[in-house]
Amino acid sequence: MRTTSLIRRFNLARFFQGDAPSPAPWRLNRRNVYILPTRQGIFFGVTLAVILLGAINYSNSLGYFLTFLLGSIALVGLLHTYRNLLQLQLRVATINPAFAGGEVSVPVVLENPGPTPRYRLAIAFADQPPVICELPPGRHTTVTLHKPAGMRGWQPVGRFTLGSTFPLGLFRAWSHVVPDEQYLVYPAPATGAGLPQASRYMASLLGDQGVGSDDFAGLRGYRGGDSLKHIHWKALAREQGLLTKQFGGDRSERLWLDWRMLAGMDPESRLSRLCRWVLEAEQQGLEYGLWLPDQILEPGHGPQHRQQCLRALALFG
Amino acid sequence: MLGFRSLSRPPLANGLLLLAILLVILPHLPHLPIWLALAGLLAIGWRLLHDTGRVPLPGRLVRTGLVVLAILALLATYRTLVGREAGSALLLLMLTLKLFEMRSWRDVTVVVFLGFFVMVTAFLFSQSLLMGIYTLGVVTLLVASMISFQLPAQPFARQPLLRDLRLGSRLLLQALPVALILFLLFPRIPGPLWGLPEDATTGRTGLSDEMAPGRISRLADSNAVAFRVQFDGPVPAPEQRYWRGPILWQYNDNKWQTRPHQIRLLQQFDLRFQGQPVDYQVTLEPHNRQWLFALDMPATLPDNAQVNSEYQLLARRRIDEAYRYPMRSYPDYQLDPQVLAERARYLSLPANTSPRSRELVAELAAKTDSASELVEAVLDYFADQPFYYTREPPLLFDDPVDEFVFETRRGYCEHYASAFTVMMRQAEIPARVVTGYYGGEMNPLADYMIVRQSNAHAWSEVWLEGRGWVRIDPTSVIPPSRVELDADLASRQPEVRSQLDAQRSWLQKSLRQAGFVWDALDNRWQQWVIGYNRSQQNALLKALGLDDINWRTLIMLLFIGIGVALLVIAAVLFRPTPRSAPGNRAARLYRRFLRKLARRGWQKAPGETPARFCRRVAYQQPGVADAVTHITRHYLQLRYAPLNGDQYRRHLKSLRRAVRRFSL
Amino acid sequence: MDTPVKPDTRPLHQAIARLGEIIVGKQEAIQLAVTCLLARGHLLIEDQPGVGKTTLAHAVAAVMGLQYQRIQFTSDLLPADILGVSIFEQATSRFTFHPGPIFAQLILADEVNRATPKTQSALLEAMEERQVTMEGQTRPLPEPFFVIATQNPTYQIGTFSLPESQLDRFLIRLELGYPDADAERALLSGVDRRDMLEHLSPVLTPDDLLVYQQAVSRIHVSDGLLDYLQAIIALSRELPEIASGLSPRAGLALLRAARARALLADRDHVLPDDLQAVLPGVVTHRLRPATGESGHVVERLVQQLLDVPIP
Repeated sequence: MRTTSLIRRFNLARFFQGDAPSPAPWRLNRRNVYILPTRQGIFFGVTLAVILLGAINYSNSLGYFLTFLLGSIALVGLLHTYRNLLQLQLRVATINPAFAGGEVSVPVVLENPGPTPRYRLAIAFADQPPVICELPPGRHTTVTLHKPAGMRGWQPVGRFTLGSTFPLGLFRAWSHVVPDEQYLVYPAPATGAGLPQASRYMASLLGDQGVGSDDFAGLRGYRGGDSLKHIHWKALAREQGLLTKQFGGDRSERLWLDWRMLAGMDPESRLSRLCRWVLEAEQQGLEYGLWLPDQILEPGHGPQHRQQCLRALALFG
Repeated sequence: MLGFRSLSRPPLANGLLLLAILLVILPHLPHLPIWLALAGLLAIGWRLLHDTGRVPLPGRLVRTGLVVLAILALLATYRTLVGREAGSALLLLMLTLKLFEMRSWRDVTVVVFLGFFVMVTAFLFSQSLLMGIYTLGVVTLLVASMISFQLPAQPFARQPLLRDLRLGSRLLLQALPVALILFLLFPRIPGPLWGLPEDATTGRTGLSDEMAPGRISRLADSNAVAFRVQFDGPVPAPEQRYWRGPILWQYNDNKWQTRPHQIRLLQQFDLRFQGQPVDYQVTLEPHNRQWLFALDMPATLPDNAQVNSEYQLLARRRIDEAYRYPMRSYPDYQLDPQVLAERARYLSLPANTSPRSRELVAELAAKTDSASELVEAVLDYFADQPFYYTREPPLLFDDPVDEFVFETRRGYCEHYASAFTVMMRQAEIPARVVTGYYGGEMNPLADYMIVRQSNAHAWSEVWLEGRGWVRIDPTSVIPPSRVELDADLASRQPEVRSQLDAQRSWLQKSLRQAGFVWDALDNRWQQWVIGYNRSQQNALLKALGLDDINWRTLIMLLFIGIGVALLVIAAVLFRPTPRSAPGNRAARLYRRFLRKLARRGWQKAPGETPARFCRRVAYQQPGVADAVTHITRHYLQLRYAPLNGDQYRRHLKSLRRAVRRFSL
Repeated sequence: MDTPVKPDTRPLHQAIARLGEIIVGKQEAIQLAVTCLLARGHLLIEDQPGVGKTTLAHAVAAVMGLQYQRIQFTSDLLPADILGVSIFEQATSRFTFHPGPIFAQLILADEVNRATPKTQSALLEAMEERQVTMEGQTRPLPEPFFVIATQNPTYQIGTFSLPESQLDRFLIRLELGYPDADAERALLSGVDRRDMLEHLSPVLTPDDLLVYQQAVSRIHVSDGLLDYLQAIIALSRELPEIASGLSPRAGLALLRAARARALLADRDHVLPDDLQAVLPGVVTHRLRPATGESGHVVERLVQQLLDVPIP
């Protein structure tokens, strides 16, 4: 009975990998915080052993005392290191999509519900430089971690590590955090590919509803402040009341970014190219639509449209 | 791995570390060669200037050169690299040179750990109470600088240095109880584990195993404590405070010596005691000899002690740590009153020793009938003739006794004891020189006597038929008018002290008083901390009711002790909730009320106001509506309304009563 | 003047009841509007045309006995049209100041987002400073001074939405919304609201209002409440979803509104309930979500602020 619970509590896979992904918020407790001496800690132990041998050899009471004092400071320091992590809470805030081959920024909200300040917390994905922060009691902070974005599509955030060697650097306490959040990776934008020349105009099925000044779009009741130029004088003359003319339009070109235009390339390269086109078209302020074998996005523009297009590309296939 | 390789806060943290290193080096300064002391201070200064951005650090080539140069210089100074002096100098040198290449967190660690080493070597020179207190301070600084290097440059504390010091001292304070348990219970292995270097211990004594009056023109004077004595009963009178030490009986080449000790059994002496015994404990400072000291005349032997043919107490081992032993002495005694074994050895004198004094003795002997009358006559001679007591006597050359008795007539105890003993032997009276300490002053605050090295004394013992060995102190017959002492030295001579006491100013008196307080503390320190050894550990365990435990049990006990201490500290550190603000009793009562409700499934959401929660509960559980409303109303008043003291008390009382009575 | 510590609030409640008769089914909005008035703040109503913004303003003026002016903001409205203008008079050969519509106790600034930013800021400055400075001469605005501004939803054309930095000049922002079925029925079957307004007699005098406004500043705020307020503000600054948290001015606004709310509830101290009641109205127009989108996000954020544990 006891052994099983011990095995459950201390299991090598958890020790090295952390727990299975778990929903937010992640709380640090006695079960998921580990602690081991650092290289300095081992060096310190050796130093103490040598001092102790000297004290024994010379029957030097103060030598004994210093050894024991330093040893006790290390032990108490261990408790402090452990406490520095305990009770902390973590959650991953909304992650902005990234492009394949780039870096993804993972905002992690750290909360210290405890009554003591937390010093020198280091958070990092494996093989990435750590982000260092401090947390006064009862406060939150958001740190942004970076890691390679990985492949196109939904990607798990993966394991990152929260560690601390405060106060003496002799011990390192850490916890592996595996949040179950995911982030979206857009295809890598292809380089050096200009917008397609063969753009085709295609009338919108829904007609024009936008705001602009070119095309007459309709009439509505007059409101104070409406420009005099837009008052429908003829209607006034016909005693139909004060009406204001509404205009829309302002669009000159619509671009279809079409999967079929890239025949002969492998799917990922096609997606890459389309991704670049979407970015370009948005940047040039064009109306653009996206044609994919499994999805068609009507022409439009603006951040939301761009996001929809990129999302479709990311999740294609 | 999340290692912190770079130094993130160099100037400030380095400053703290440099201060700590300076304090580590400071106690070593008195015994370091001047060049090394200067080099150490220079290195610290250099590093400080570097950190404030003024000078570069020496390059690799220069550093290597410095190391070689310094080691050569060390070898030239000490001719060795091991041993107390050379070893600590070497460590200090390493520490100093490491300051020049302190770049990474790893280097800092090395510097701090070397600092600990150098600190320990200082204990080989002094283990005083002052040193102990000093150590605590330095350790705090070293720990604080370790913390400083851990913390980033922009901490949320306004004064990071102060914060680090506070954290460091808190760590130290929390560690102290654990350290104490370790100190008391860690099995004490009697050293040495390997051979001690020649200069291992600090012990020095004002006594030696030979005495050559006239060869040294100035008596070394040391205020150091030789031993301390705690009396069980009344303190013996000043004239009885003769602390018996090495006995010198062989006179050769104008010097007194003791031959290799011949160990005897206590039973081999014919000892007769009268009157009341004096019981006491002696705490002897380490002096690196086997000598033990006791009042004339010791009647018992401490554990592990022996007695030699001259009835001198000897420990079986050199006293290299403070040693405390119980003693019983009788001031009124007779030693070998009937038969004197080896009579010849106490009469032997080289041929042609002091012919003039031989004449004088013969002259005096003619005038007296018995040996004891002759002793009186010789003492009278010293008293009547213009003999002076001085601690800076002229040098004596060919025949020190004759030159002293008939020409210079100026000397200290050694001169008188030596001359008197020689004269006794010339009169065929067996005699020997006894060295030891005379006097000792009571610490008026702590009820024990301090005997200092400056109390070292020499006197004679003569063997008289029927009376045995009788103590004769020829120095004591010199009248005070012929004592030449400077005030400081005189103050330590018991006979002069009373005269001086009247002349002291209040400042001197209070300084003296403070000195006594400090010595009392130091005495405790020496007895209980520095002198803590295996036997004291056993005594402590016995007092705790743990008799005869082996080291395995001891280690188990040690682990349990540390475990309990750490658990207590952890319990305090990991306290789950913050303590509520003082006076915030209403909130505490309300939380209790919430817990009662929560047990029945009524959970208040964190953002739910008390009033809203109250309405929710009252609506769904009309039975308790009144009570819940009552409690909530009082709580809201206490927490949010402006109340005077009286209203506050009234509401609090109602709330307390209501919460206590409340049940679902 | 010897003001009682706690004024008689019965007339105030009477006034609120009277307002409720005219604006049916909008109890919460009326409460907030009166709270805003008591806290010496200004009110921003943001909603579709025709839901009763004007009626509310008019009714408040009538019930409180306030001198009322309505300014319809249009794109060609000039600052002078609001503040007033100095005109050279032949008879006296002097410039005389003709005060604009702003010199009234209650201003209804209709559709402020239709005016140019220049005109908007003239209004907002006057609101903030409670005085008008023209041609080097400073003229104080009457007391009490209360602006109810209305704003059409920003997606309508021809509008200049108020910049965020200006928005927090308004203490409270509220949306009226459509009336529920019962209220709608009452509205349709009842007497024309405009007629009711005309027959409305004041319940309060401007002096009464001033007394109430002074009483608001004497409402007690305990340390416990400040702790709670600070926790809310701190969270708003820490949530990653919020681009910029609540400013110190927003904190003061919250406190002022909560005090007024406590007075309305006949209490001499502020409770967390007061804070929560005014929180959405006070903060929604001051929070800017980190992501471009708004609407539901802000609502969710406000809910998060409401969920801050009460210490």
